[in-house]
Amino acid sequence: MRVVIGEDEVLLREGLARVMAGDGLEVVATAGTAGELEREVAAHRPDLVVTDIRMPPTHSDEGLVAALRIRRAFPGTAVMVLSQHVQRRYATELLDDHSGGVGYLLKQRIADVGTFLTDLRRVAAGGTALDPEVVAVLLSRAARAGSRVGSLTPRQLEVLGLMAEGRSNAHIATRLGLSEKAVVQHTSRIYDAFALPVDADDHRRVLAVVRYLSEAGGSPTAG
Amino acid sequence: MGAGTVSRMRLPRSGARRAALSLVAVFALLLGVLQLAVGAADPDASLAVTLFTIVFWVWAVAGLIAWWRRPGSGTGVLLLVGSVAVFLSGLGNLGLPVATAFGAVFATGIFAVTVHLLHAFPSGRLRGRLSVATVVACYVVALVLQAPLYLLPADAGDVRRAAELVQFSAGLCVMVATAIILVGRLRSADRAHLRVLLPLYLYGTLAVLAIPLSTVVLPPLVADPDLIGLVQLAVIEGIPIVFLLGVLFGGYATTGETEALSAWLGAAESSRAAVAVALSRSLGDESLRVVYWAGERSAFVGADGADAPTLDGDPHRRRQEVHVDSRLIGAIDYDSRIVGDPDEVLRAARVLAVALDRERLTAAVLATNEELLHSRLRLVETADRERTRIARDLHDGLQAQLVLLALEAQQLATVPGVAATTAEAATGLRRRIDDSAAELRRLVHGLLPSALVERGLSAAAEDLVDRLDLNATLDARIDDGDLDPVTARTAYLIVAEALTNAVKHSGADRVHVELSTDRGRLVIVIADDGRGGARTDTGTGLEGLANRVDALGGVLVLDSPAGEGTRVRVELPCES
Repeated sequence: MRVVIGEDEVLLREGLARVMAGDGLEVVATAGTAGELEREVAAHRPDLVVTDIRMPPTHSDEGLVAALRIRRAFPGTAVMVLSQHVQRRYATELLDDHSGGVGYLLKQRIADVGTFLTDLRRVAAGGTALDPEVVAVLLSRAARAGSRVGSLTPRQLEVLGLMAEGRSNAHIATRLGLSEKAVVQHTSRIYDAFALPVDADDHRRVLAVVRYLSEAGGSPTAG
Repeated sequence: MGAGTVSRMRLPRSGARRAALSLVAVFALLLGVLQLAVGAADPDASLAVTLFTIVFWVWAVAGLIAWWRRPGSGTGVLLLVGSVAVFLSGLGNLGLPVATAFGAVFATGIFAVTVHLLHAFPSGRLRGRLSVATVVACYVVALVLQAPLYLLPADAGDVRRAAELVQFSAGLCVMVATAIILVGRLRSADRAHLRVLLPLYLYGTLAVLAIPLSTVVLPPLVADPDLIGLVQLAVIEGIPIVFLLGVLFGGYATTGETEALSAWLGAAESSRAAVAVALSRSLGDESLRVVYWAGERSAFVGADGADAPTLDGDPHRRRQEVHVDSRLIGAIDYDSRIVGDPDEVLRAARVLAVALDRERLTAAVLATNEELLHSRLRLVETADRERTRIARDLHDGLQAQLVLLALEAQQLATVPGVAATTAEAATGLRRRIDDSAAELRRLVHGLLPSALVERGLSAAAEDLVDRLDLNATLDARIDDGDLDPVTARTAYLIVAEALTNAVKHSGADRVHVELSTDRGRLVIVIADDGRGGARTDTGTGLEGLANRVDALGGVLVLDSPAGEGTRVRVELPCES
């Protein structure tokens, strides 16, 4: 799997590259600015782009903007966006094209190398990886807004949260100490509660759940 | 200060003048009635007495009106003096010995008063030595040279005629001098003043000349001596009317006392142009100019900053300097022919000094205030810049370091062949570093909210609302690009603080945040349905924000009645 990294902090960039190379990922290029990143991506056409949101020259959201542009210019390129702070708005923007292959995590998650690499591979395979913090915001908003999230049992909520993070049934089962069958039962009840059509494709299922949560929370007229 | 204050300040003086003038009016009325009553006793004289009384009243009324409407001009007083002269000369018709004597003494007094009026128009004050001498001479002719006519016995024909001739000649000399002076004034008058002065001078001069001459010229033409007397009285009656009209409508309107001017200056937001207009109206001189001393150029300049014209070459222009604390600040240029009394200009100058000093002090206070606001704003900006710098340093340096540290700790756990306990310890270490990183993240976010830096106020407010443990809604109708960083940051802090208070203190179920712009101001409203009773002065954190809002020239209103929820409304200036 070919990867391009966008990160302005040199040590972190090298650390990331080392971690990925250690797991057999092929880091074809690294970039210190958003412009550089887009040029490297156009040149190398990687399978996966890992980028920081804040980069020179303005240190605002150019990493995210670059990621969204790359998704439009090269559909099918998976994108993992990293940030010091996560917020719902960016998650919504990244998931807006409903096509999967998107990740949005706190930068600190890199340290849990095993989980991080799993997330990277899942995203590269068309899955999603949403930071638990963003998922928590989505869940609490949806619950407060009086959606069906409020009718779920605590266990179902736990399953829902991990689903929204993009975890596989097997992972959820291990995390919660359940059988995979029990997890499937929980998920189908959640689908029923949300009146979502059952989808055989895991990734599309997750996207539907996240979209449901996002819409259930209401959309403030911002901007 | 409004119009009410102005009239309050004028009333006492107007009231006093009204009382005085009313008294004079009543006195004149009584004198006239008395004269009529005495005259009625003698049927032969009653017509003459009635006519004289009417002329007396006309002079008196004209004098009263002129005094009432133009208190700054002495014309009214002179007209009243004239009315007394008419009354005294009319006493001769009553047939009473004492009255006849009075009448004889003051028979020609009215001519002197008329000449005096001509010389003193329009201010009512004489100006120039020649003018004063002529008027004094005229009174001498009318009162002193009249003496032989009533002191000499009736049969001293030649002597009487000689005395009459002396008086007539002297009177003629006075009139020639008067004519010369008046012609001189006409020649130097501008077109607007000429329109008034020419008919007035002509009528006054002709009236003075016509009356004595009519006794010489008319008898061959008009047989009836009563008719001649009637014509003379009609001419005399016209004099006060002509002067009254001249004073009222001649553009010499002196509307008010200097006190009224000062009240007017205090009431109006005295722009410099308005000062000049007020002075010009108050002193009755349309050509009046207010000039200001430009110390750095050592010259007088107009309100527009251009050099003021010099007075050279115009003998009638005068300049009254205006001083504040013995410092020259300006001057009033005026026409000495129109404003007769330099004291009046001096009083006006004092008022102007007060007005200009007030203007200067106001400007100074405003400047100081503005400076203070600027320095407060600079403090806020400096503090913000410092926070941003610290946040950036932490973000770029320490946070990245913690990621790498945690990464290395975790990698220890995955080294092949590592002991299980070591792996566990390494993972535990990684988790603790992660926790510290999360702590640091919160700290950095508090100093510099990511969403605010990356996307602006709307996104940052949305992030706050998203993370709130309350049913919170946001209505943002602003263009984040219009806000400068200090305004956006202040607005963010207000929303954050108000939301924190709503969660901590209000017991509210829901809270609504609204961001909008209204006429160049950013309007922030945070309203909850909690128990209310919030205050800005009791450690809610809103106090510091109120200061910050104040420094930015904004307004913070906290509306929190007990039991009815809390509503914080803030307006901040913003460029848009």
